[in-house]
Amino acid sequence: MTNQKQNGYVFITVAVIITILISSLTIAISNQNKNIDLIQFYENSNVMEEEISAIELVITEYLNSNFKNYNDLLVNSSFQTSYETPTNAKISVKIKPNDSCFNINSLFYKNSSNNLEVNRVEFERLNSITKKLKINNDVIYSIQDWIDTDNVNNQNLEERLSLKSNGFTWLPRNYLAVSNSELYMIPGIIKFNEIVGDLLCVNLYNFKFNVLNLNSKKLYLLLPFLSEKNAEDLLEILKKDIWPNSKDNSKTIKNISNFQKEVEYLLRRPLLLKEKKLLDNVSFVSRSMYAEILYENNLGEQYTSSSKYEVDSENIVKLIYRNGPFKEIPM
Amino acid sequence: MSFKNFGGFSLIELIISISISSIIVGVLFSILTNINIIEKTVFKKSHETINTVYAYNLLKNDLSNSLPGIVNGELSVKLKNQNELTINRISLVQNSDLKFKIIKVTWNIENGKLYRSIYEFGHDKKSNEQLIHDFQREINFKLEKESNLLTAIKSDQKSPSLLSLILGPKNQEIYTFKVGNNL
Repeated sequence: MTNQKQNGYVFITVAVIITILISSLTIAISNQNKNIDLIQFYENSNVMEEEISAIELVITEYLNSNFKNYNDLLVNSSFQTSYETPTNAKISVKIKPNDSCFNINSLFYKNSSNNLEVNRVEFERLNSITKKLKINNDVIYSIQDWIDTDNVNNQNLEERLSLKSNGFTWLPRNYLAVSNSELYMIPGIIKFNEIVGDLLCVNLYNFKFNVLNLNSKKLYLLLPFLSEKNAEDLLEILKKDIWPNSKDNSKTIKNISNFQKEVEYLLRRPLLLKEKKLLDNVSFVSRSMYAEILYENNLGEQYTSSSKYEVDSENIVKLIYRNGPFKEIPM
Repeated sequence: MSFKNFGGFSLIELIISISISSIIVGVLFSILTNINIIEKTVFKKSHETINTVYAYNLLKNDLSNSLPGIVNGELSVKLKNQNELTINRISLVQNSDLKFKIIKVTWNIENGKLYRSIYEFGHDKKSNEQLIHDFQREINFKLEKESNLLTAIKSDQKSPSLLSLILGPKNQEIYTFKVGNNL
C-alpha cells in the first residue's frame, strides 16, 4: 500500500458523492422544468381563451351597434376581420347570418299554460319540404320528439328506447333546442342537412327566416306554394331596389305586404289564407349571426372557436353559446 | 525486509485525515439530504399547484362551452347547495359523423375533494367519476351572478352567469369563472 493509493480512495469517494449530488440536482431540476412547462401550457391556454373572449366582446359590440342603428344585424358596415394580439397571435373572424334556414324551434309555440304545442303552419311547411325533396317525413317526428315533453314518441314507443334502437346513447332535450350542434343528435337530421346545406337550424329567440339571405333552392323549399322557377324569379326581384309590383320611382319598402304582391304576380293568383299564414315567419332583417374565429399563436399553432349571437326579446344582441377553442378542427 | 522501508502514516496523520474526510462526506450527505427534502417539498407544492391549475382549467373549459336552456325539465347549468354543479356542454366527438355532441358534466364537492363525472346527455347514470383534486381544505361553489339569458322555469332554480370556486376558510383563495362567456 502506498500514499498515492490511499489518496485515490478519498478522491473516488468524493467524486462518487458529487456525481450523486449533481444527478439528484439534475433530476430535481428536470422534474421542475416539466412542471413549469405544464403550468406554462395552462397559462398559454388561458391567455388564448382571454384573447378569444375579447374578440367575442368586440363582435357583440359591433352587432349591437348594427342593430341599434339599422335594426338589422346584417349590414355591410365595416367590420375588422383580422386582429393581432399582445402575445403576437393572429386572429381572423368570419361572421355570417344564422337565419337563412328553417328554425326547428318554430315547430312549437308556448300555450297559455306555458306548455309547448305544435305549430301546425310550420309543421305543414316542414312536411312540404320533405315532399319536395321526396324524402321520408320521419325527421319531423324526430324533431318533435326531441323538443316535446312526452315520454313516448309518435309510434307510441318510449322515446329513450326509440333513440337507443337508432344507435344513440343520449336522451331527448324535451324543451326548445339551443344550439346547431344538437341538431346532429336528432335522428335523421345529418342526412337531411347534407341534401340541402344547413336547411335546418336552431335559433333561441328568432323564429323567422331572413328571406333576403336565402338562395333559390332554400326559397323554393321554405315557401311551399313556389315552384323552382318562381323561386328563381322571386330572388331576382328581391335583389332589386325597386320591385316591379310596388309603387314606382321610389325604393321599395321590404315588407310582407309588398313581398306578397310579387308572389301573387308570379303565381298569377291571390294567395289562399293558409298560404298567407306561411308568410308570418318570413323576415327581411337578420337577427341571428354566427362567428367563426381562427386563432394562430406565435408558434403557428391554429385553434378554432365558434360563437352564436342573437337579438333577445329586449332587442339586445347576446352571445348565446360558444364552442372551443379546439385545436385544428375544421368548421 | 525492514520496518524502516514502510512510508506509513502516524496515528495523528490518520486521525486528521479521517476527521477531514468525515467532515467532507458529512457535509456532502447533509447537502444531499437537504436537496431531497427541498425537492420533495417543491414537488408537493408544484404538484398541488398543477392539480389546482388543472382543476381550474377543466372547470373553466366546461363552463365556457356550456349551453343555456332547459334539459328534461331542469336548467342546463345549475348550482345546487354550493357543492353540486351541473353543466350541459358541447364536446368534440372523434371519428364520427357527429363533429360535436352535448354531454352532461357534474362537479361535486365532498370533504374537500373535487370530483367530476360525465353522463350521456339527459341521463342520470354516471359513465365515469374522476377525483380531480383533494384540496384538503374546505371548498365550495358560490353563485356570483344570475344569468338573464333565459327565464328560469322554477323560482328555486338559478342559472349562474358568473360563479366562484372558494378555497378556504383560512387563507382564502377565490377562482371566478364566466359561464358561456355571457354576463
